[in-house]
Amino acid sequence: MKLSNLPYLVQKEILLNIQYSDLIMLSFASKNVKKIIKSSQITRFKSISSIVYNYFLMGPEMVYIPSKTKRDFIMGMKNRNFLNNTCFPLNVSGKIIAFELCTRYRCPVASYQLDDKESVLESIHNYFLDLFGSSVEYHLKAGYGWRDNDDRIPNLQNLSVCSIRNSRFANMTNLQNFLASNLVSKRIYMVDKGEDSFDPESKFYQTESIEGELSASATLRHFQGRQAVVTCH
Amino acid sequence: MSSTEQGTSSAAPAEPTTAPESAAAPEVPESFYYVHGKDKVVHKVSAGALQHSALIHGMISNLGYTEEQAKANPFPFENIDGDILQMVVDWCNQHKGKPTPPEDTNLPKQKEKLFDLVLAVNYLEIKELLTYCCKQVAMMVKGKSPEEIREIWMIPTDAEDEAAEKEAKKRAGKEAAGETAAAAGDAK
Repeated sequence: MKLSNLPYLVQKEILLNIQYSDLIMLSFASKNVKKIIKSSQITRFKSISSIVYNYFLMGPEMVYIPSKTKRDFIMGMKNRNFLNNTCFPLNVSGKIIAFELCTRYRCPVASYQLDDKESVLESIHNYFLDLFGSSVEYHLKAGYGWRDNDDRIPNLQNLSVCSIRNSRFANMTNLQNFLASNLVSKRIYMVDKGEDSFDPESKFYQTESIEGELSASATLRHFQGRQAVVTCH
Repeated sequence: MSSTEQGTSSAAPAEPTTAPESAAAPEVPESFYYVHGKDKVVHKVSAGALQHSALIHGMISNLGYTEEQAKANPFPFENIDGDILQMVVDWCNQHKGKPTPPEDTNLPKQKEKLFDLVLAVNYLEIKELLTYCCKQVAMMVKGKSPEEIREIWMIPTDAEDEAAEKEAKKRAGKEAAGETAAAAGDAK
């Protein structure tokens, strides 16, 4: 059975019946197949509400597409030391990453070493930007406080929403650097933030909407967006 | 020429009852058409079963085929293998006048057979069966790595695609050069 021998409309119908996680694996088969996926699944991809990166929060590090009833897991991430023997390398936006297929979440899992964890997620995000397009809302959920507080939040282009939990535990320089270099287009949720306020020039204050336990005076002075919800204790 | 008697309906004779007038209307006898594939084996199919195929349905209604004409000239589908056409006819008969279920588990499991069925069903424009077939084809790559998928669907690697593209360009160039030379010869 040769996929390319089938008429385009049949190929399109077949691809429509493939789950996102399998479609991602298929896109790695060849550049031509990736092109067919991108051109034939435009409408499907436009209907994706958002792609969420669950990054160093408690629980599994997963990338998923949320819907009203469930989370459609499309990729996972795990430490390379815990990878099984049946892994395979893939070129993800120029970076070679070892993957395995996870039966529990029914999706591919990318491996990382602790020192290149952010760059693995950055490569995955760049790959998704190319495959799913920039019209999809990309949401990064990151958090501190249970692992190394020096963990750096990865720089992800075209990020729409960012939720940062337990930021009072964060290395403020890392957090400031992230907020200085990344313009989150829609919303930032800052949950359980400490006393430190951000640099007045920070892109944090240029975000359309910010929300969380923030310094009211600093927010009033520097915020340039449209909506700020400040929670006071 | 052999003939299979697929899909013949055996309507029971209507008993005189006290049913309302509308139900007592005389039953219109079902008409049958004939199709054959590459193996020339003729299959008799009811018009009701053929409704599934937009192509055949269109041929019947647009060409105004009568049952007699159809019997004398079965629809020839030389591009479809006999066993595949048999599968299609069976499916159409099984689902005649019935709502199609969300899944069909009776599709062939062998890759090549399924591939031939997809092509035949696409050609005959049987939308529901095409949907089932596509779902089945999609299932083949569930939980597989890119390398496994490449093997299952015979997807060429990037290097193979590039080589094929180069070869095609080279051939096109040679053909264009040949045509130019021929045109120059004609002009002389």
